[in-house]
Amino acid sequence: MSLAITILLVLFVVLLVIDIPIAFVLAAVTVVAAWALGYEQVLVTVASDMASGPESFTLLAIPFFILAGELLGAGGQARRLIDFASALVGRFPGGLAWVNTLTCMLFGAISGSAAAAVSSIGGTLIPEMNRKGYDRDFNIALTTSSATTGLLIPPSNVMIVYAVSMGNVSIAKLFMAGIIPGVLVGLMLMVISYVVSRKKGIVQGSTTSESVIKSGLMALPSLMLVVLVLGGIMAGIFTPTEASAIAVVWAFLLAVVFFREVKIVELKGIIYRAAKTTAVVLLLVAASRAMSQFLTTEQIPQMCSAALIGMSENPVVIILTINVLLLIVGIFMDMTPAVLIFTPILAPVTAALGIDPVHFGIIMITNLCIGLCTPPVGTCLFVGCSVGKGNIARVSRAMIPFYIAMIIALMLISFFEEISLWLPNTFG
Amino acid sequence: MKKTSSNIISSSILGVLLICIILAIVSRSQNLPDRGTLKCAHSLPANHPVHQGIEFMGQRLEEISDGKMKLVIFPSGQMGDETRCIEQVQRGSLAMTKTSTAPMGNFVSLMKVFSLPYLFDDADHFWEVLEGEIGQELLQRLSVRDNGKESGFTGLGYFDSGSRNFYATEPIRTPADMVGKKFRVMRDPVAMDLVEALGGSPTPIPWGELYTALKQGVVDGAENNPPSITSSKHSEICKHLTLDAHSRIPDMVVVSDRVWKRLSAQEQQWLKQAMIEATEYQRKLWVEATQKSLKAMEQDGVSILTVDTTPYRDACKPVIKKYATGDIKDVYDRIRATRK
Amino acid sequence: MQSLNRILHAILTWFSIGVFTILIIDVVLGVGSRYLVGNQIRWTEELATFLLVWLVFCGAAIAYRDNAHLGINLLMTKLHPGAAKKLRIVALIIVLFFTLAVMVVGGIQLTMERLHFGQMMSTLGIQKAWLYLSVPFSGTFIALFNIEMLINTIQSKTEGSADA
Ligand code: NA
Ligand code: NA
Repeated sequence: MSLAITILLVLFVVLLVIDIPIAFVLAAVTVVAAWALGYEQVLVTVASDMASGPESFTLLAIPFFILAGELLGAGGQARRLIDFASALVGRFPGGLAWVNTLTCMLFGAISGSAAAAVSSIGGTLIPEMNRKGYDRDFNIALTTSSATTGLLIPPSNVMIVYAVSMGNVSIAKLFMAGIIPGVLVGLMLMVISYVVSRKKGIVQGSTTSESVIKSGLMALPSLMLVVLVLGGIMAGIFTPTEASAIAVVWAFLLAVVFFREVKIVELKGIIYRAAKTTAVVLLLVAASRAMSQFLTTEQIPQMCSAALIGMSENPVVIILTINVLLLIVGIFMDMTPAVLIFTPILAPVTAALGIDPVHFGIIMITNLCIGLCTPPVGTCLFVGCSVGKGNIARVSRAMIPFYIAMIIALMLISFFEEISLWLPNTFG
Repeated sequence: MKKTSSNIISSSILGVLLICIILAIVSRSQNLPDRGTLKCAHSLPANHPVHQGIEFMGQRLEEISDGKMKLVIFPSGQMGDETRCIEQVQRGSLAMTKTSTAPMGNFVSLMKVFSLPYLFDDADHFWEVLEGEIGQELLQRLSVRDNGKESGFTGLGYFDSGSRNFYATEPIRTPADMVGKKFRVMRDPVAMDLVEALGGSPTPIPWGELYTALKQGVVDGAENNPPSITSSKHSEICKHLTLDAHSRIPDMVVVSDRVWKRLSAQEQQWLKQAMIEATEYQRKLWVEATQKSLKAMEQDGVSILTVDTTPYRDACKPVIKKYATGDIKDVYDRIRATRK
Repeated sequence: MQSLNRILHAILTWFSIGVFTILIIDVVLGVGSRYLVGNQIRWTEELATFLLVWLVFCGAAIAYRDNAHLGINLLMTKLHPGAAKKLRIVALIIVLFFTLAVMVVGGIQLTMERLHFGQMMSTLGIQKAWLYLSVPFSGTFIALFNIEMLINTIQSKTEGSADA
């Protein structure tokens, strides 16, 4: 047992070092570890786990938002949006970075999926921010971390998963509890952007009311996209997943029909790029699924937590231990399986400490949000690196200040329950 | 980097790779499959009466077999949804699963009979049939597909799954109230036709997206059994439940044939015994859970409507006619005949 | 090999573009039918996930030839070209072995297994095997592209600077 796990870890590192793509590494080490443990039908099991990874309607938001982003970028619509944003906030150091974070939070307020946020916002904003002089790795790191706020700001798919596996938690309360923590994380990220941009001296010059109005008018059609998507979801015309397809149609109409900035022949290249980016991300989802199924079957999460929990009786130490555990889990596991597996394991521990299950849910999700941005298994990071065409190792380095910001927010959220509970207790 | 240090690094990487492969071979030779430990996965949360029923089954199995057999249970869809679990049971990588008979219809089409509306008159009728000759016969026939080939699993027994009822953001008193409203249904043609026959628009939405879809009004309602309505928190949004009991789709526990054939007669017997005891236990839990969830809904301000089901039954007749053909019709008629 | 793969790559590209386009039409059709016809077309949701799986696996093969899959690019660029070439060959062989074993052999076994059990997709009315066929399909292409890379790497000159 432990021998197989050692093999898994060592092989993992070695294969990553010799530059085998992460998706292949994840699936290959799973095969070897399962085989070493005497599993039968290892090949067909891993093949089937991989195929079922992307077999999900909810994941459709990823290809659609990626494609919509490509269309807006190719047609110049994205540029107009950024010009408008620049006109508004360009004179502040890191102004565009703030726009990025705020857009992510706004998107988070309508969508429950962080990966969709990275693909939709990253696909349009990252290339334009590069153009405006921001560092590519910084832009990707910023978008990746900002997008996770959408999981704390309601609605949030993962909160529903948590509430259902916890049992006695109201989703409505959980949603309300996530608002302040989500905004808090967003603010922390904006502070980091300000500091980093100021150090690098990125300012785009002054703002005149004339330039604001002019660029605002130019950006109006693409702003309509936001209105359409937001409005459609809030009016209950379509689900957030379906909204992503509607976004593609609108982006297509803007770029090809109304503005004619994209010729029909260019569509081939656009769809091709979007298909490739989609495949890169979702193959990683597929391979992570295979590994996560293996870890679950071997009950490794349970063993890890059993080893950690119960080391101390001091509540502060226990909460810190849980945070460390969940951060480590987040490094290696995707969010949904982690919530499914750890909620029932940790619930009795936190209940004994008297932690409100709503508060604990926010702690858990904040932790796993950080995990979404770390290699080797981090869906948001993967999406960010593929839409922003970045290198994982370099982007991870650029993530460090953002990790620190998120961990500070996590500590505040963990030890001051009012941050989560004040809203639901006051208005719930 | 210098040539020599590069060569040292690359050689040590190759060395580590080689050691990993050797260790994997050594490890595999030492790891023999443990016949007595059965992996069982299902898609319901750990606080669900079905999970508790399976846990009880594991407990009893360990006791009856004197510790020689036990269950390792993976709840909450950790191993995937019901269809995925059935696939893994056929493959033998999972020993057991609990599944509704609805997805089972894609594997053994005879199971579609259970999806037919108003097949059973009430809970008593339901259990009378399942525990009687027909229920046991269907359990046997689960091992065989339409073309006579093996299905890959052995039916072990049934669990209670209550009756499915409509719940919505507005009150549904008669089928006429369903007209123009969108109801989420399972990805099951019978369920879709059922909603359509009653006048509603069937909308397939993934279960995980349903809470948000109800909240934002993409759909106006859905249908399920009371414990699932509360455990999924949909009762936070839908304040009207109509007890029309349009279907009673049983849950069943199936064992992989690959695993089943490896067990000794004694071990198979232990498993069967544990299942019988678990069914009895789970039935009690289910009744309690249903009452509890109805009570919880009432406290949450959900209006619970008891309706005359006659117009519902009448509207459903074309659906029955459409799907009750061949073997399904034969079983349908026999089940109906027990109460006519 | 190279010219064959170029053709295969082009075929895959057009295939993925086709799948993607149908996917968009399908989801829009699902939403549209809900409002225009009143009843959502039943198979749109299941077809969408079916097409997504195909899109992912076809795209994965394209991305493989384009070197677009994400890796941790840390050590290899710093190594001496000779050592790097040796490791690159090992890495390619490992990926080839994995692809043949899991995606091609495992994928074919998976498809055959589903055909054997005759599992149906509920609303599409076709066998589930058609979904799983995407895995060996993609694996075959990845293996072919991999062999091409392997040949190129072995033939590449290592004296001088490391190739990108
Ligand atoms: Na959100
Ligand atoms: Na991670």
